[in-house]
Amino acid sequence: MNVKILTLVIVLVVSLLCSASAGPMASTEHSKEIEEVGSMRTPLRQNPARAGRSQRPAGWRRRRPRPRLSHKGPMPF
Amino acid sequence: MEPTSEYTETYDYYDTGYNDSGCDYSEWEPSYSLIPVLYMLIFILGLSGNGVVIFTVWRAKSKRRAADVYIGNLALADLTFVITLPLWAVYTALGYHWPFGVALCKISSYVVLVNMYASVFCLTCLSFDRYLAIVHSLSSGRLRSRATMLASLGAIWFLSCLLAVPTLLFRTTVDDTGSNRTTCAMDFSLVTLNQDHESLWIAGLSLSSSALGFLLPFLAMTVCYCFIGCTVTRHFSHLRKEDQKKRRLLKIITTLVVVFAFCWTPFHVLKSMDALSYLDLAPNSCGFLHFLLLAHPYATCLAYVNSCLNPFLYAFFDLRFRSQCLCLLNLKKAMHGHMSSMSSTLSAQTQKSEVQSLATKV
Repeated sequence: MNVKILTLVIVLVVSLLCSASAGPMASTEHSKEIEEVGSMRTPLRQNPARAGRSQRPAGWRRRRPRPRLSHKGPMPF
Repeated sequence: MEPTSEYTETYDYYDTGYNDSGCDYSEWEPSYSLIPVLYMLIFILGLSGNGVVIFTVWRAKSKRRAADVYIGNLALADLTFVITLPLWAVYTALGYHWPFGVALCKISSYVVLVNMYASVFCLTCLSFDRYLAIVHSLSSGRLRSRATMLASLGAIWFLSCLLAVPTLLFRTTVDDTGSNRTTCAMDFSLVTLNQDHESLWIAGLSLSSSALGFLLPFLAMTVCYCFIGCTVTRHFSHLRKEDQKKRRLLKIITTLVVVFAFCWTPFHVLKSMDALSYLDLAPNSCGFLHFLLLAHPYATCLAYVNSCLNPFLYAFFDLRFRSQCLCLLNLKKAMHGHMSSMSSTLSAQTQKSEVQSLATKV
């Protein structure tokens, strides 16, 4: 009886550990997909972008492309 | 090709009204016709009004005050500021398509920036001149000499030309093959490695131009007028006739400064919020950015309005200026009347006498 209970506990612990590690792996896969897309869109700028990203401060996010105010007239810069 | 491709990518999002995050940046359609009309109205009023001011200051026979020289330069800056507006009116009416070539894109943008700085710097020097004349009237004779004034005017224009150089370097035309349009805008691809680097350039230049072209001068003017206000309040009941003239001129310049602040604050606030959003220091949600883009042309119009309001402020508040202007107009009318008939000449002489009498009273 004790051997059976011990075996069950070990199985549960291993299952929990496996499920916990699945999250980071999924995130990693998603990051790889983003890099692949970025690589496809701008292959020539890949290395500078990666170098820039590795040196960015925490929380720095990639800029979303958007129209600029300078399109609309002589001001501003 | 590569530097242009990044810019084209950005512009494609603008052209379609959406970017990769699903934001709608579509222009408000009436702006394409309303903004050009406003530009042309400002152009006509600014050209005529500032032209009259320049003519009056230049042809005035009486001794020019230091303030008159600054006001003349302010009018010159304002006139030059609005002179390129027809180009920008066409640009807007064509849906932000620039058909005038790279050279005019650079030059007209540069002229606008030079005179934007020159206008605010002239106002600042006017304020400082009033501060010296009122707060330090006994000891400011040397500082308010003709040589000093000429030096300050030289510094104003030199500094304005220098501060506007970035627009001469970065303004260019960019073709968008997708929409068959050419824009005249800032292109930082020559000096940037990636999008983030470009954002830093945009934010840096935008914030610095607002600081140097509005915030710091406005603070300087505010300080000057605080000291002037304290001095005038302290000596209000003992104003001599000469001091009353100074006070009248003070009202005129104060009005110019208040109107300047009213017209330019929205523009610089919007521009600074846009710059800060590039640094994640201001909201960068779709709605907020769309608001900035829609409001910016109208804030620009309000800023331009300042350039054509100044002449009317002189006409309403400065009796001496109005008198000088009437004298000049009357002299022309008198000359014309003399050539036509004696009765017209007599009438003109009567009017001239009346104007001279008015001038004497002023």
